[in-house]
Parts: sequence; structure tokens; C-alpha cells
Amino acid sequence: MKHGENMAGALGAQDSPLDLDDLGEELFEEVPRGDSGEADRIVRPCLTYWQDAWLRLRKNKIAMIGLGLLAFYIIMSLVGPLMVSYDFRAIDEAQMDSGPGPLHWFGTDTLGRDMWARVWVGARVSLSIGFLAASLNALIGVCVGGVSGYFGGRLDMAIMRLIDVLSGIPSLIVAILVMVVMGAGIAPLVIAMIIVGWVGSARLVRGQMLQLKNQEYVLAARKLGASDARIIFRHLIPNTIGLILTNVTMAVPYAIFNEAFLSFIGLGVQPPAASWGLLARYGAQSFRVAPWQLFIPAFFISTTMLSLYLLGDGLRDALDPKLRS
Amino acid sequence: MPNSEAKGSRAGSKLIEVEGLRVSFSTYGGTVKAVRGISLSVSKGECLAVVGESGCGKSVTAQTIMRIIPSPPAAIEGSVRLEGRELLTLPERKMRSLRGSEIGMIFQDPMTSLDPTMPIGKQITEGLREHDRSVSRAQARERAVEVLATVGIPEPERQLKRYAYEFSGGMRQRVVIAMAVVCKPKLLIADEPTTALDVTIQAQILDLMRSLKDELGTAVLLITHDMGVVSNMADRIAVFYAGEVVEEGRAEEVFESPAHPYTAALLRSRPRLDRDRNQCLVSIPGSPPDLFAPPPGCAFAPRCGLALEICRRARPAGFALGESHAASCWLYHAKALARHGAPSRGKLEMEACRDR
Amino acid sequence: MTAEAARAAAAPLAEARDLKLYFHLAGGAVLKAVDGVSLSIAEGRTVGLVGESGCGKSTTGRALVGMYEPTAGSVLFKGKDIGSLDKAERGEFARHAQMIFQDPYSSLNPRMTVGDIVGEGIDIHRLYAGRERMERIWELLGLVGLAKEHANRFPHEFSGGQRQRIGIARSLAVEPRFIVCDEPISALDVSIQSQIVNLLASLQARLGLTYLFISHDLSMVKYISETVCVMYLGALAETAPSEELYERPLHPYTQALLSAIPIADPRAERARQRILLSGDVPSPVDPPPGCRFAPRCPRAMGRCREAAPELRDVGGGHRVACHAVG
Repeated sequence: MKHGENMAGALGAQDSPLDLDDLGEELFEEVPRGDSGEADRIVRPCLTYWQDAWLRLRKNKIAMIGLGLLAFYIIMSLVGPLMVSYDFRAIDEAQMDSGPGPLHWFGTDTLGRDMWARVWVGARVSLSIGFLAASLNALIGVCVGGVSGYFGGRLDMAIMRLIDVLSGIPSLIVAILVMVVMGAGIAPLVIAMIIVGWVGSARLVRGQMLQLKNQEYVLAARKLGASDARIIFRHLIPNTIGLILTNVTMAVPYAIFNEAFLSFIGLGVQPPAASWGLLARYGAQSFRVAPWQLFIPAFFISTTMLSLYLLGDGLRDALDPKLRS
Repeated sequence: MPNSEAKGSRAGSKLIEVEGLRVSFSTYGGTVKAVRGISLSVSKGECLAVVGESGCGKSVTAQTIMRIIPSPPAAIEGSVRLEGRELLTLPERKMRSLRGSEIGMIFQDPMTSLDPTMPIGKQITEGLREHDRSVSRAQARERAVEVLATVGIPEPERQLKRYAYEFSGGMRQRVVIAMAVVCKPKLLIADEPTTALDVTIQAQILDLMRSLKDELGTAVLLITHDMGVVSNMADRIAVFYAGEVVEEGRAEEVFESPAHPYTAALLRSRPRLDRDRNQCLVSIPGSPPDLFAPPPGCAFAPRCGLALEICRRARPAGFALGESHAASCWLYHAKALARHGAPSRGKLEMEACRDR
Repeated sequence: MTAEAARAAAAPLAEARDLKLYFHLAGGAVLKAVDGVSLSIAEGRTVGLVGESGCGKSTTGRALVGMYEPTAGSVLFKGKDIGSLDKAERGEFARHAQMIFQDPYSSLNPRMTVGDIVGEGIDIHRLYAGRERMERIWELLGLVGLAKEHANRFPHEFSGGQRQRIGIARSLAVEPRFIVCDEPISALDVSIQSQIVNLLASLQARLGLTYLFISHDLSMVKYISETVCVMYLGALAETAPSEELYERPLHPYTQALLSAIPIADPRAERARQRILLSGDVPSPVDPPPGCRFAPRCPRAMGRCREAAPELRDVGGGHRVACHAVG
């Protein structure tokens, strides 16, 4: 091989538009070395954590379906009852137990009340209770789990034992006890759900704290003189928010289900208010005669739960800092 | 290819030939062009070291040869031939029988190659019997004991029952090596085999690998970033940068007369124990290019002190510098040589050594 | 100069005297991570601390910046025992002794901008505010070779080498005198390692810093340090000026270590005679009595298993802990 002879193929192909058989002399001029700033320049645009997460979430079609469905239900819960002229409490004896049709899109219940209006008013109650309970649980869980995980030692042990005890109590028993003490209704319902419900997120946050507090950036902050408060609020919590958000999203369906269940057995939402669980209760009673009265609220309960799970799954992947490139 | 055409080549026929390999991965951020057209070959019984830093595509190349990269999402083009047989289009069944029996692989982290729930003896015998059904359990066990002794594990009969976590890092790596060579493969691919080990253990493992290579006549494709490990084991070297081969040649040639500015800088960026504290440590400014959008010309040009105008415009082909030595650098094009002469080693190093 | 100032000027900046750090594990076993280490670092100098995994070098480094309390022995800074400092002096020590960590991927908070990361020390100690604060942050970024624009970016957008530079800028923000570099380059690519090492050297010259450079990479440690200390399983095996250690290694472990390091030169490398140690690096939990290195030492004698050797001076700043030497 002659010195300098072109050996295409040995070390890779070329794909440039220059005519390689006739390269101009000026191409072999030396280029003065630019400052290394050019080599250090970052080419891609700057994205914050949330922008990056949103981009990733958008690519997850299934999660977007879940998000879309949820958004639709929320909008309908606000707008739905306004789309018909019936009030959700209005009794119409002439139209009792009529099936879905042009007059009543979802049919009527045993007392002739319009199911469409009732479903969407019920959505307001079920969704708000679900989100409220899940958020309160997360809030309490973050505080307890955060303190427990960060400070460790005997405090941690005591709190963990408390958590162990609480998770052993069946939530139904607790709900019944609360109802006995406070009477039935929305407030006691929410209280019953949060008395034991915070345990899951507490465990999660505690685990995250245990892992994060030994990260080198926490050690570095401590070495620089950061106080505990600064470490918790500037370092640990921002890195836990993603986890908490995912956790809340996954906890809402559970809360919705709880509400539905407790209302179904008569302990939760009381008439004249409506919730999906309550609708299901009445629907079950007239199941043989008018099955849609049960199917329709059940359908909405399950699809809401499903869409939240799908969204939560997608959020978990989108918010995981390790998956950022 | 220069090596095989060279007259009187000792190495004989080629075992593995990679030609025009391109591998891209599609991710949510775009397409990563991890390997951008590489060609290399390993002859029987020889050790080719693939050297480069993180992100240069060396591991991806090795994994592509073993066909352990799932092919969507990766897009693979080019050809990989084992003794003339094309591997990239081989059905998975046939590839499975090749892996372990003809090509063995050793990874950096022994804990990911060893099944934590299975005793090591079973892992070795299973591997043996998978590739050769005629071997009986007793024979397989004997062979396992033999190979454990060969890799230097004391009291091999007793160790057969033990689990991976019961061994130390160095011992685990020996077990992995035993598993890789038990079927006497023709080619051993070692991906950073000693990076995770302490230096005194590394010396033991390198020693073991060299003696195994000599005894079994196995060819070795050694992937590493450590030039010291390379000089210990390699017959030939291929230097990778940003998914391409930038220089290739015999070990002595590349170490003594590095042609590509990157190779020269790499050799000069580690302090040598046998030189004093005034040795100049080269540091290459900047970082390797973003493989989502590699530059149109030579990938090293933005960081190269000897860049020519053409370097930013077109990717260089490989230019031969001798019988077995080639570099992918415009400095060795006839016109560049006519104009500037061949760059001396001093010039190569000096241009890169800015900070001192 | 007052007597106290004179004493402070003559004393090394940071010192460990017979430092012991024992950790009690579940089940009653004792992990003797550091077992009687004495070393000193003079102002403006670099001391290298080298050894393999489990030898206690990181633990020693952390004790020297006050991150661990000694089980026995003492850590001195500017001649004073840090355990006996009052609150104000303690705060001053905490600022003046800083650390650079190993893993550039976990040593920066992924949710904070680079500017806030570098400025954290400034914010905690309220050194600057407003415009001055930003300018100081830009100055620090410039010192480590980064640009002003980088202050608004997040760590994940940077390479390993750049992240390590951010970590260095962060520790410089509080104007330290003494920096313990705990494996600062092990997680970086080879060509970037030299960037960081050259940066550290130039910062030392510019700012008069003192370093303890901890690494398992003897070649790099020898290059950057004036004095090198070799640790094995919690104790110092040998310490000497760098050139001296390479030319006249006396401890069998140092000799094996030097012999194990491959040289980037095929002809020289293959011609070498290697000392290969048998066995593995043992664990520092409940070590046997006597010299820690005896089980693997090619020159072990009966005496070695009975009593641990003392670190003895053999002249020229060279000290060895070995019964077979001197």
C-alpha cells in the first residue's frame, strides 16, 4: 500500500458531498484552534424537570389516553348537569325506571330522576373526595415519612412500629368505627379514609429519604454547612416530589373505590347528595328491572380508576430522574 | 484489509470480520448513532484490543457481534462474519448455540453474568451440557472442576456448590472466565474485564487471561479504556472515537508511533509511573460529540489542535501508514502530506497539550 | 508574630494522630476501618493517599474534614484538635476544610441549577447577595473553566468532567484552605481525568490550596502529590516523597502494588517481572492480630503474625511499617 493511499472500507465509509477525487488545496489549510468554549457548548435547549417530564409523558400514548379520559370526565362533571334541563334530584313519577333514550340519555332511576345529571353530579363528589383523600394522605405521609426517614434512630423505629400496627387494621372496621362515632356523611368518610390511608405514602417517602440522605450531594451540602431544614426543603423534598405525585395519582383510584364501596354499603355519602357509589347502591337494588342503573355508575368508576392507573404508570416513568438523558 | 494481505503474517486466517457496521438506537430524545461505520477483524489466536472512552461505541460493537442487542429498537446495518459465516442474519436458535461454544463473553461486572440463585457448579455444567448433549452429568462435573482449577480457584470440588455472592470480586471474575472458556471457544470477548477490580487483583486476572489465550489458542477481543491493560495483552489495537475506528495497527506501532491526534493525546493523558512529576499531562479540551447529532466532518475535529479545513467538512477515510498501521485522519491524505509533511509525535502531543 | 501564631505557622495545616475509626456492625463484629493512622499535610502541599478497596482511605479523608468523629486518636487543623474547638472555631473549620466527591453523577442535586449549586455555600454563609452573588458565581465558574451561561443549566446537561468541575467550584465558593479530594477522577474518562488533575494543580498554584488526594490509582497519585502514603487494611504501610516511593519501595505491599500497575508500553510491559500476590484483599472486619498484610506477604515471618509493626523512619522523609525492613 502506498503511503497516504486512500483506503476506504478499512476504517469506515465516507458520506460527504465533497468530490473526493478532486479536493481543493485550500481544504488542507490549518484551521486556527477555536477556544475550547466551542467544544464545551451545550447544543440542546434547556429543559426544566417538569418540561422534560411532560415531553416524556406525551410520548406515552397509553398514559395520554388515561389523562385524556380523566380530563374529559372532570370537564363533564362540571358541564354535564348543565346540558340537561333536569335537576338531579327532581322526581318524575311518570318516567320511573326508563331506559336510556332521547329524553334521558342515561335513563332514569326508580324515582324517575335523570341518570345523566345524577352521574355527573355524582362524579363531582366521587372525584373530589378521591383527590382530597389521596392528597391529604400524601401530605400526612410526606410529613411523617420524611421526618422518620431523615432523622432515623429511635424516632424512626417508633413511627415504623406505629405504621405496622395501623396497616394491620382492616380499613372497613375503622370506617365503621368512625361512622359510629361521628355519624355518616362526607366529612366522616374522608376522615375514615385518611386515618389509616397515610401509611402507604409514609412508607414510600421514608424509603426515598433513606436512600436520598446518603447521596453525595446531601453530604456535600452538609459539608458546606447546610442546616437540616435546608437539606430537607432544598434537597430532599424536590427530589421526592416526582415520587409523591405518582403516588397520589395511583392513590386516587383507591380512594374513589373506597368511597364507592363505603357509600354502597350505606356508610358514606348520604342522600340527597349523589355519588357514584350511592348510585351503584340504588342501582343494585333494581338490578333485575333496570340493569343500566348499576352498569352506568360501575362503568364510570372502573374507567376512572383505569385511566388514573394508566396515567400514574406513565407519570412514574416520566418523572424518574434516572431516565433523563 | 492490511493485516490479512500482509505477506508472512503469523496470525493466519481471520476469525471475525466486521465490515461497515452501523448501529443506531431510537430514544425519546432522538436517534443515537452509536456506531457509525466500523470495520475490524480478529485473526485466530490473536488479541485485538478495542480502546476508547465512554460512548465511543466499543461495548455496542461487542454486543452486536454477540447479537445480544435487541433489534428493534436498535437499527443494525453491515456485516459480521465468523469464519466466513454471516452472523447478523443468523436465526436466533443458531446464534444461541454459537454463544458460549464458539464465542464466549466476559463482562465488567461479574454479578450480572452470574445467576445469584444457582450454585456456580451448576451454571458451568449447564452451559456445557447445553452445547453438547452427549456429555453426561458426571463428565460435565469433572470438566467443571477442571476448568475451575485452570482459572486458579482453590479446592474446586468444594466450590462447585457455592453461590456467586460467597466469592470476592476477583474470584467471581475467575468463575465468569471459567464459564466463558469451558466450551473452549474460538473467540473470547472481554468487555472491561478488570475495570471493577483492585489493581493487584487485576494483575492476577490479566495474567490468567494471557495464559489461557496461549494454552487454548483462543482469540481475544479485549475492550478497555486502560492503555496499560492494552499493552499487557494486545497484539493489535483499534482505537475508537465517537462510533468510528480512528486508528488501527499492531500494539508496538500504535504505542510507539501513534498517528491519529486522539491516540497520541490519549497516550499522553495518563501519567507514567516510570516518568517523573514534570511529565506533561495532556488534557484534551471539551468533550466527545453528542451522538444524537454527530458533526458532519471528522468527529474529533472540534477538539483537535491540528484540524484542517477539510476536517470539518468531510469524514476522513482510512489512510495506510504501513503494512498493518492505518489512521482515519486527513493529515495523512497525499495533499496534506505534501503541504505540511507527516506530523511528528512531538507536534501531535504538543498541539493537544494546552494547559501546561 | 505571637507565640501561638508562630506555632500555627510551623504546624502542618491538617494532621491525623494515631487516628482510629471503628464501626460496630450488627451482630457484634467490629469494622476497624482506620486503625492507627498518623499523617500530616503541610500548607500548600499535596499529600496522596493510595490503597485498594477497603483500606480505609476514604474514611480517613472524611475524618480529616470532620465528617466522622474519631473513635480514638485525634484530627488537628492548624495545630488544634478539632474535637476541642468552640462553636465559632468549629464553623471556621467547617468552611476551611472542604471535600470533593467521587461520583459526578450523584454529587450534584439534579433539581438545582448549576448557579444555585455553586452558590449554595455563598447562600448558607451569606457571603454575598444580589448582583455580587451572581458575579462571584460567574467568577467561580470561570475559575474551573466553565462559562457564565452554564449557571442556568441543570447538571444532567453536562458531561462527567464538567460536573466534576461544578463540584470543585462549589467547594471553592466558601474559600477553603484544605480540600480532601476523594477519588475525584475515578469515575471519569481517561482524557478528562487529566483535565481535572491539571485544573486542581493550577487552582492550587493560584489559590494556595492544600490537598489530600485520595485514589486507588497510584500513577495519578504519584504525579500530583509531593508525598505519598500507602494504606493497607486500615493502617499505613509506607509513606515517602513520590519519587522516592517509586524508586525505593521498601514495604512488600508497595512493591507488589507498583509491580501490578501495567505500563503503557508493550515492550517494557511484557519484559517485566511481576510480583503476583496470592489471594484476595481481605475484609477489615475483625482482622487477625499482627501485621495486616502477613497473610498475603511473600516475606512474612513468625513475628509478623504476632505484633503489628510500627511506622519507622528510614531517612529522607521515608517511613515504613514492616518487620522485614530496617
